[in-house]
Amino acid sequence: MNMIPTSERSIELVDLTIAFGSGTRRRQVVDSVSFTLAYGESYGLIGESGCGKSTILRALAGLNYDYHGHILFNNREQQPQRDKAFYRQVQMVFQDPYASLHPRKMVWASLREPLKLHGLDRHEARISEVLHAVGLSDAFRYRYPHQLSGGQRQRVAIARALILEPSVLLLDEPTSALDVSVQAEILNLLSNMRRQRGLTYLMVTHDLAVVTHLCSRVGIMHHGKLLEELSADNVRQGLTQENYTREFLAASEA
Amino acid sequence: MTNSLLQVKNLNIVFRSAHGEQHAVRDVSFQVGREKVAIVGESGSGKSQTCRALLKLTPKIGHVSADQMQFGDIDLLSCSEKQMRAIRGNRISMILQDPRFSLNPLMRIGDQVAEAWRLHRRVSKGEARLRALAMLESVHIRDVESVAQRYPHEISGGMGQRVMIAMMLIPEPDLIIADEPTSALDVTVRQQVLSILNEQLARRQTGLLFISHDLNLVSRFCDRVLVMYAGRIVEEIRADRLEQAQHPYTQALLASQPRLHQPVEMLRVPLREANWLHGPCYRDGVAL
Repeated sequence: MNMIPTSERSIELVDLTIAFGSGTRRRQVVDSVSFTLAYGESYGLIGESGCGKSTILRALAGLNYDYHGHILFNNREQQPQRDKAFYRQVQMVFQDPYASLHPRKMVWASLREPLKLHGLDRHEARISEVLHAVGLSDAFRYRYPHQLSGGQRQRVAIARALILEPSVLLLDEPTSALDVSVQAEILNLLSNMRRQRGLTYLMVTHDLAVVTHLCSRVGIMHHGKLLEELSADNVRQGLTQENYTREFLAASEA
Repeated sequence: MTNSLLQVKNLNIVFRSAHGEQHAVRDVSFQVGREKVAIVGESGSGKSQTCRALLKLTPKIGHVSADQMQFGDIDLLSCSEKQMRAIRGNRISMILQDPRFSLNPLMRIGDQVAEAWRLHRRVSKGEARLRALAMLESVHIRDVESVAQRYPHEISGGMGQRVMIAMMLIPEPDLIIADEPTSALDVTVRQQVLSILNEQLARRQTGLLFISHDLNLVSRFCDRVLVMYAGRIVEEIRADRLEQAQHPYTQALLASQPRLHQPVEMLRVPLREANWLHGPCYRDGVAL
């Protein structure tokens, strides 16, 4: 049962199943998960560590070829090994800004790399534009990651994802390594970017307050299964069908 | 607070380097009794350095000075390294953020916990082992015999943190310093670890100094909150009154976190003002 009309589907997962290992050591990590993201929607996946939420994100980003089921983007089925056009449209922001930027590359070099790979023009102009969009001045071009604070690094990571002008951003706990005040800055930046550019977000997190702030729909995962999907309002009011969700909400609020 | 455990007056920590002086902690004064006191602040606000200084674990380039650092009847300022070794772990112990880094990866869980006891007491191996197993059981680890045989990489983060708590509590210290003990854990596990910590503290009347940047958690778990900004304590307040905080920085921190039940379009980002470095501090809502 899919409530979103075909013409509005940006990303669709159908019966996605992922297992690691083989024989007796085989472990089912994701168990026939299906959900759909409409254009311009923000969708959050929450659950405790080991529930498979990040694995889904990695499979979607094409970092894990070994899955069963179907991943559709703009209503076209994707091959496990993605093509360049897909990466132009779907970009990822990782959890730890201390690990996701190349330590020996200055900001401009990190930002120019995707432009070169995709054969885009106007490198200098695009780098300036995207740095301004994420609230950094041109002076930051010539800094190394170790010369930036955690919040500035995450801004650069977001700039690197946005420079290809994608339509979908995959966010893997983008603020969990940051302080509350810096978290507020990054969350504001993400919601501004979404409004200005009509982006679709898929966010993975275990922080309930963050997910309901940024996302309008939330999927709750447990042991590799998608238990249920709730609107952010229903999460706030605790309107849930599943016992596990109730426990999870209680643990987050207590 | 009656029967104060720890008294710190005008603690200053300065890091001297080729680039000049960095004043990490400025004139910090506080007391801890047999209660749960939280220190909150952003990274770099000096909260961890304050606690390291209590155990004299400040890096060599840091210069510590204070008018008073009294722990029970011991004057920490004049303690030698040898005396400090008898205090660390035994009277004051420390729980660190991530059990993956703070447990010895090459030692079995049971041996590590037993070692913590043997370091401070003259007991036989067998006796220490029994004691360690009992302690692991008291932090709600099921099947202790098999867990004690495992290595740190074979247990989950939540269990690792419970092992840390067991290890830190086994010498029955008077004060525990917990440096972000739950920020590497999931929400569901976090709750469990905190309630175990709470139970153990209440049983032994141990004091707790809890470092965190999660205001929400602190306001529910602790009795008193110290808010640090740029090395100063700018506000000291009862945890249940945190919402009525007076200092603009505390208010800004509270406003910058997303709330489940009060959805907002945009979060407020703290604007830092230069005069916070010298302006008034607040204690229980009253300017000092």
